Amino acid sequence: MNKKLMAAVAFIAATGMVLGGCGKKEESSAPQGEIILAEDGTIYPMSASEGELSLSVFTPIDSETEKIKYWSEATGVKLEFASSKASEALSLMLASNDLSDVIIADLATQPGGVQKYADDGVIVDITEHIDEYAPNLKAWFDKDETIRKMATTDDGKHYFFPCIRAEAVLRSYRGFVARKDLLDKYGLTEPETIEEWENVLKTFKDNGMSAPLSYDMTAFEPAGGFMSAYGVIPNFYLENGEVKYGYLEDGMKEALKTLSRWYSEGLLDKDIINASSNQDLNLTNNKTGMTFLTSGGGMGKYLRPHNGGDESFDLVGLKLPVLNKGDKPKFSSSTFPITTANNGFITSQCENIELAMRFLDFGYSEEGNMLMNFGKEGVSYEMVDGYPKYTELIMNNPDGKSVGDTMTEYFFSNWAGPFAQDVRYIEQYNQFPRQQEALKLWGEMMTMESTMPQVTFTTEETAKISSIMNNINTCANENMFKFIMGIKSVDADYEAFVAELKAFGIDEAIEIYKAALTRYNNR
Amino acid sequence: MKITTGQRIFSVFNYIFITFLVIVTLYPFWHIVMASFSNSYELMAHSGLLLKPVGFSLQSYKLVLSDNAVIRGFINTVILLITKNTLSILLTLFGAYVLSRKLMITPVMSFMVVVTMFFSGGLIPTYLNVRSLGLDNSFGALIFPTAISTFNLIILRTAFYGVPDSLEEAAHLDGAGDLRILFEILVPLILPSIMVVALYYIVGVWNSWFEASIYLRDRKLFPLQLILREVLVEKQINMDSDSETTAESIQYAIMTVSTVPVLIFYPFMQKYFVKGATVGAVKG
Amino acid sequence: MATDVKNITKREKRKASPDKKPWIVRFGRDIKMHKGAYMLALPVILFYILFCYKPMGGLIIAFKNYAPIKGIWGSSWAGFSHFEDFLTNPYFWRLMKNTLTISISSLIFSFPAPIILALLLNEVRNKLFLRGSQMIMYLPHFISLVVICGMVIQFTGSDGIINDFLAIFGVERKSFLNYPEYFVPVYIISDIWAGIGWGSIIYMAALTGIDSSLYEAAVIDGAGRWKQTIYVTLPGILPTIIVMFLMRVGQLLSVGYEKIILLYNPLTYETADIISTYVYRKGLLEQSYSFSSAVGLFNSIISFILLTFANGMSKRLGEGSLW
Repeated sequence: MNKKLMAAVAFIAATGMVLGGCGKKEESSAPQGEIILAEDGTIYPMSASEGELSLSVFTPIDSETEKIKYWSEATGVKLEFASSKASEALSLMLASNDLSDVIIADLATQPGGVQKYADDGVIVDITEHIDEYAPNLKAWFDKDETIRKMATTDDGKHYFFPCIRAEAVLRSYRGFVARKDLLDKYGLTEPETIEEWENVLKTFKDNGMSAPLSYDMTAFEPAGGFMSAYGVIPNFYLENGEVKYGYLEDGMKEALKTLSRWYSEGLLDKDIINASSNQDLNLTNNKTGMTFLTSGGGMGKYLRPHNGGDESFDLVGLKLPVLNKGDKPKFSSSTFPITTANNGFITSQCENIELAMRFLDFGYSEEGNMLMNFGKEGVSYEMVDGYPKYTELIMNNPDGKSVGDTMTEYFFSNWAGPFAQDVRYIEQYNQFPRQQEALKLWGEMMTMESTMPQVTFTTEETAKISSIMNNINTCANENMFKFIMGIKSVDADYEAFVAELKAFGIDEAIEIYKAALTRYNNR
Repeated sequence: MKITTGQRIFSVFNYIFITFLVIVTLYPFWHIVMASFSNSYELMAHSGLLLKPVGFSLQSYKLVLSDNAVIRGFINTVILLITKNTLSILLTLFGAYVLSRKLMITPVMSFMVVVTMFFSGGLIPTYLNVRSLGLDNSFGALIFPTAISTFNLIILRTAFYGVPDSLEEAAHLDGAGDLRILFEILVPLILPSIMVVALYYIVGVWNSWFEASIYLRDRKLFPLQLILREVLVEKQINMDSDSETTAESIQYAIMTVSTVPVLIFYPFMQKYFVKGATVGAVKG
Repeated sequence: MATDVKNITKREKRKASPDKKPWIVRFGRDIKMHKGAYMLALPVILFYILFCYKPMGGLIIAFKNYAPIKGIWGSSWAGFSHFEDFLTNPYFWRLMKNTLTISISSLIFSFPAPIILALLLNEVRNKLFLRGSQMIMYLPHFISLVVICGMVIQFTGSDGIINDFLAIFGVERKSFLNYPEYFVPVYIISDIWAGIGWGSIIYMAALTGIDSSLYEAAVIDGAGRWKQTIYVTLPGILPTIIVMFLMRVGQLLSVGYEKIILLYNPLTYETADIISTYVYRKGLLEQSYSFSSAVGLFNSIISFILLTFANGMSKRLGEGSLW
């Protein structure tokens, strides 16, 4: 403390000093020798001809977990963390221009995306190094063209180690569910068309449910939800390769009319706007019969037997609704085969790019796959007939922690990181047959054709689009609920709403998306 | 003293009204404590007022208190409380004393102080400043940059104004220096206000987590609130995730654990408020 | 009139004593005369320069297109374009109107509440009851805002306790937070609910400082409790009230975003969306640091003008001043 005080006092003299001139990164102390390699690539854990291998890492992942220890041990790299869950921490690290060697975070959804960080010189281009230092990731790229394309930027370069979710079941983990026990009780089958949905909801309503259909619309509709029956989502999407914006299409009017009618008839939660905060209560108290959940954390939480709960409680996954029997929904609630969360980046201040590359490449190796998805053998999983089975520690924690919590402690698979998710993870996380069925059903329905790919914008486009979309999102959210709740009438007020969107510049936003899409397609 | 009927009626209503307020404000805390002792699943299905735990369970406390990070966070917070509050109260006293004098520098300094209530450099420049002083990743980052709260400084200055000039003038004539006047004559007179300010500082340190979250990298230095915050915030993790949220009852247990120590502190503070009243009486 | 107020006015008058010597000479003499006081001032001034004024130079990013990696000086100049963007935003007037509605309502309702509570508590003679009730009323201050707002949402929901109560009188159930016209009342009432006890602390402390001989004198003059309150108690805590009021006026435009963000939803945007929530959506979520800094600066300047005005009024009325 004393030294710090002295530093503070000494600084008086420099009070007028120019701002922003901040300390340059200290030179790493011990010199590192060459990494010892085998003929066919990296030997994990890695070791050097002299000195210790170490990297500094910035990540929102909790660094004091077992999984981080395992990762460090298995790769032979000592990790120094600058981790914080505060969303400002990343910008501040960038602001101070004192970067860690590796960043494991979501840069793609930051304004400007990966391209901006590359242009600003924060992260380095790893395209050249992949062949030499990242054979495991390269194997993925060679195997799967879509993944390679998505992990590339518009200028054809690679900047990150993606989190891969190759199999359909890993990407279609969320959707609508209904109370199966109540469907059976009233002699109903799982609804498929809008008409059937209405019938089920009416029955629920007549049997005393106060909020038969209730789900977080703002969170789930933009990817593909109820409105997809009418061929729209409240977002940008593709139709025959053309960029469309849902609110400008006629389908949206129809969707809103139906929702608004349901709302007035009491089929839709009166408190739909706060649906997410009332979900636990409504679902367990028989107030809601249909909602939108994730399969593992969501369905699992309600299906797991618990003290004093209703024994017959049961949930079943539903398809997205369609207008006519046999139609295929245009959208699905699935995600892309690579997710933007916790991707691995190497910064321009990393002195040993080879080490960072080989460290990040570990997750895609055979051994890394086991560690990232299942943790440590004998602790978090056991091999049973060649199948990595999670131990009781994970699935039935003696301290009473939830499955999700223990998973987060011992391995990465229930969230994201620089590795490929393993199907055997979700098979076990979804321990109930109902979850498995739902996953399968949602997987079968998966279609990404109409979904806008993860395009990137230039710096100018970013500034434009963020200022336009800020107003548009405010306006659209406000009006969507007003139409549904009958505060505004679709017939009378929709034109004025569209005019408002146009005034905010929606056409310009569509143009920007078109340009970005063209670049994406040319990758 | 004679008590009239009017006063008696007022007194009865006053007690009733305050009791009502107490009940209304007590409820949220009651709710939290009761929820923390409840079974997670039954809590999930419960609606309406929570007057007693649903499905009594100590599970949440077992989990919270067995966590090393919570204990370490608590120790860190205590260290911060002691060091920072000592520094803060001393500096604030000095500043308030100077501002209540009739020195040539007083008007300039007053203006300089008040301006900072409205203008600040904002997050990034402040962060860069702390880094350039070499304070980041140490308690120094949590202690020095927020050592004086201008609001508290003004409270104490106002309190100094309340002390009759004659007292200090007499002391000056006796040849007492500024330090002696401040600590031997003025401090005892404005003790209630100092206690209020101390309370504000203590609670400020106790509740703060943001500075810690941006300046500290070493988890061993994390104060309690930051650790608790992380558990609470995990609730709102990315929609893309398929992981379960931390059980509500654990969050409530954590909130209870983080509030109780401050409450234990209150009665000691309150003693000083009462003492202040007696001092005021002597003063006249 | 209580001594406190008199003291302030006395000081104000005495300040201007004419002296013919140049200021530097007088200043030197002043330092020599009050060496002790200047010594005490030194660390305080140092603190303000080092931790408040030095980072203030960073406000310059409001006029730049700040890119962190380029640093403050390396980023390109933007002139007043961020200010223009804000002032020409289609929602600007709505934001302004909502911000002022919320802050003025809170000045009218939330500000006096703790003062009234302090006065009421002052009349409580039972020490145990007094301490107990005070302690309980401080509690909400320690509960995380997330939880407080969660409860507010729960209580005002269509099957919440408030609707349970109103239903007895045949009022139709509704979720109050889904109606723009109820947003401000819910915001203000919950503000009072959570802040009244903690807010009263400072007035309680001021009350204990009132000279008890003043009460005795009032009793001799035949004043009842009510008259004592009007002529002794209120004037006694007036300086504190004025200082608190002035600071409040200075913050009219800076209503925090945290609570609003937890309580509002798209349906109530038209009354609940304020400057700081807009900046939050724009600045923090999108990292437009220069833009949010420009709005912050705009806010500060207006606040400062408001405060200077209020302070001037207060000074003219002889009721003390912040500087």
